[in-house]
Amino acid sequence: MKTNRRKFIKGITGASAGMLLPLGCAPKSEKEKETANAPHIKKNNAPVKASHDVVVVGAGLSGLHAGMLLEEQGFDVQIIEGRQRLGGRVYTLNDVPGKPEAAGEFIGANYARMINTTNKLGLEMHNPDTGGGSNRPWLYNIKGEYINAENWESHKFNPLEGDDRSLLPHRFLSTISHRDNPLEGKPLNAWLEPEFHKYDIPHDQYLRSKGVNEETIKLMNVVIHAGGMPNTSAMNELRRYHVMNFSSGKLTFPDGTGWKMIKGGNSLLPEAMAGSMKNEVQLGRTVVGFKEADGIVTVYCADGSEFKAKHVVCSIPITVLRNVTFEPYITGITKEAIFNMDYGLSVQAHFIINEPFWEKDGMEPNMWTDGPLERFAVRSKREKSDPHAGLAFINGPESLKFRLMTDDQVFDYVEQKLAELRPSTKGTLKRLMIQSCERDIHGAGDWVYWQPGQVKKFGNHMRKNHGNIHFCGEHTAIMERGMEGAFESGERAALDIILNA
Amino acid sequence: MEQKLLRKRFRFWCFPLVSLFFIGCGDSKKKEENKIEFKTKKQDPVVKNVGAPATIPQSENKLGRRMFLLCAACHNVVEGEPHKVGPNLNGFLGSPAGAKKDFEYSEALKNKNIVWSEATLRAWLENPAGYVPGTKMAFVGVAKKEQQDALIAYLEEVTK
Repeated sequence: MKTNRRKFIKGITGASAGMLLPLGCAPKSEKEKETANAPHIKKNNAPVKASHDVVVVGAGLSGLHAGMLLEEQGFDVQIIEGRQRLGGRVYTLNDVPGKPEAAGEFIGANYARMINTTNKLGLEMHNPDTGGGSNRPWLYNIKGEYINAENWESHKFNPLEGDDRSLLPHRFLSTISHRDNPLEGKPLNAWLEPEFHKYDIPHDQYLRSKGVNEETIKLMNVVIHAGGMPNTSAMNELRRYHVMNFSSGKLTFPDGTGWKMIKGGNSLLPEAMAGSMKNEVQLGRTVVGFKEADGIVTVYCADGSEFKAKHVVCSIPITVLRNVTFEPYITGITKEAIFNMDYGLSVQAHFIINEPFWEKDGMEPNMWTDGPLERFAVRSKREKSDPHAGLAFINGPESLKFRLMTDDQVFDYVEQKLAELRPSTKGTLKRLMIQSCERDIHGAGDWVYWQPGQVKKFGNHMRKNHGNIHFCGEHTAIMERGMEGAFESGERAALDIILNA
Repeated sequence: MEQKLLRKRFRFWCFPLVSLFFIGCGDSKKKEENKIEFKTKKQDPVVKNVGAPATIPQSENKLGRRMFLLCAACHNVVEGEPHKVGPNLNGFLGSPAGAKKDFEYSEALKNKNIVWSEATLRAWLENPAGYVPGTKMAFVGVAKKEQQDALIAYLEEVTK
C-alpha cells in the first residue's frame, strides 16, 4: 500500500479547520478565480441536510454525465463536488499563457458521448494551434549527451536496428509496445478476457519476450505514465494502444480532422453540464463517509453536510476511497483493489520565460531527456502579446519523486535540475504554478494503471456496486479510456440505476 | 515504414492527458501527417456536428427507450436528423447493413452482407464486434434477452 503524506496532512488540516480544503495544485488566488470561472455555481458554505433520489459524488465528466442521464429520466439528482471547481481532470489553466489544458485535452472523433454532450449543450469545438512548441522538434538529452533529432538515426546511443533507427526516442513506447498487439482486431473490452491474462505480466518482461533489448526498454520507460516498466502490466499498455488505434483512420469529424478541443477551453464543458442540472451542483462538499441502512444511503461530508439518497453514484478515484468510510464495510476483492490500485502521474511545473534561453545557447528549446526532468517544453504563443511560457512535464517513474515535495520544493528541484542540464535557463524562469492531478486530497493522478496481475484480479470488479452505491469514473471503464472512458462509466452507472428503477 | 510511424504518431493525438506533450512538442510536419492519414473529404453539411438535433422518441416501451440510452450518443432515429458518430437509423430495418449513402461505414460491416432483421439485429446487439469483427461501432453489447427484446421492439417502433 502506498501512502501519501502530503495528502494526509492536508486532509487533517482541512478537516479540522472545518474549512474548504485547499487546492494543492493551485496558487493561493486560485480559489476566487475558480469560482469566477463558473459563474453559475454559487459557493455555498453552509452545511446542508438534504434528501434526493440520487446523489452523485464528483463533478468530473463521469459524475456529470451520470447526473444528466438520470435527470433526463426523471430522477431528482444532486451532484456534489469536493473541490472548489468543476471538471476534475478536465481543467483549463486559464492563468497560464495560452490557456493549456492541465489534463483531458483532445476530443477524439470517436468520443461519441462527449461529442454528443458538447453538441447538445451548444458548445463549439475547434482545432486550435495547440500551444506547445508544435513547430519545434525535440532536443534529446540521453545519458547526459545532447542529440538532435536529425542525428538520432546514426547516433551511437540509438539501440534499434534497420528501419527502426529512424524512430525517435519519444515514439519508442507507443510504437514498439503496439507491435503485434494481440488485441488487434478484437473488441475494446477484450483485454478483460481470460485468454489475454497471459499478458498481465510486467511490461519489460513482455517486451524482452518479444526480443526488445534493454537499452530500448530503458528509453521506453522514460515516459510510461505509470509506475515504471516492472510495475506496469503489459496488458495496461497493450490496451492503451489498442483503444488509441481502434478508430484511427476509420473515424473523423465531418471536416476530416481526428481531434478537437472545446472552443474557449475544455473546462467549459463540465461547466455547461453542471449548468444544465436542475439542482445546482454543490462545490466544497468533500465526502468522508457513506452509510447505507434500509435501502437509504447517507453521504457524510467534511463540512458536516449530510445527503440522503436511494442511490449514490460515486466517481471518487479508487485510491482516494482508502480515506472514505463505508458502512457496511467494503470487503473482499473490491477492498483489495482500493488499497492496491495506483494512478499514473504527471507533474507540470509552469513558468514564464523572461528571456528566450534557446537564443543564448543556440539549441532547440524543447528537451526530451532520460534524466530527472524527463521533458521541458516551450509553448508556442497563442497571442503575439503573450509572454514566452514553458513547462517541465514529468510523467514517467521520475514523477513519483515529487509526491513528498511541496510546490515550492518542486520549483526548487526543477530549476536546479534544469540549470544543471541547460545552464542557459538560469535566471530566465518565473514561477507560475505546479499542476498535478494528484496534488490535493480529491485527486489520485492522471489515470488508473494496472500493475502486473491486477487486470486478472480486479478488472471485472471495478464496476461492482456496493449496495446502492454505484461506482463510476475512468477507472471503471472497460471499453474507452480517458475522457470518453469517463463518459462511458457515467453512462453505465446511470443505466444500472435507471434499468433497475 | 516511415509512413507507418507517422500514422502511429498521429494516433497518439487523440489520447488525452499525456498527449499534452506529444502534440505540444512535436515537429511542424504533424499537421500534414494528419492529412496523410485522415480522409479530408468534405461531407454534406447535414452531418456537421454542431447543435445536431436529437430526439429520443417517447414510447410505451419504457425498458426499450431506457436501453436506447446506450445507443443515443451515436444514433439518431428520427427522419431528417443528422448522422452522429454512428448513422441515423431511420428506416434501417429490412435494408442491407452499411447502406446509408452519406455515412462512412467500416469495410467489415459493408462486406458482411447483412440485411437488418430481428434476427440479425439481435446477433449484432448481443456482441457487435463478435458478429462483425472489425466494426468501428464501439459498443459493449446487450447480454440479457429481456433487454434485447425491449431494445429491438423500440428500434422497430421508432425507426419506421
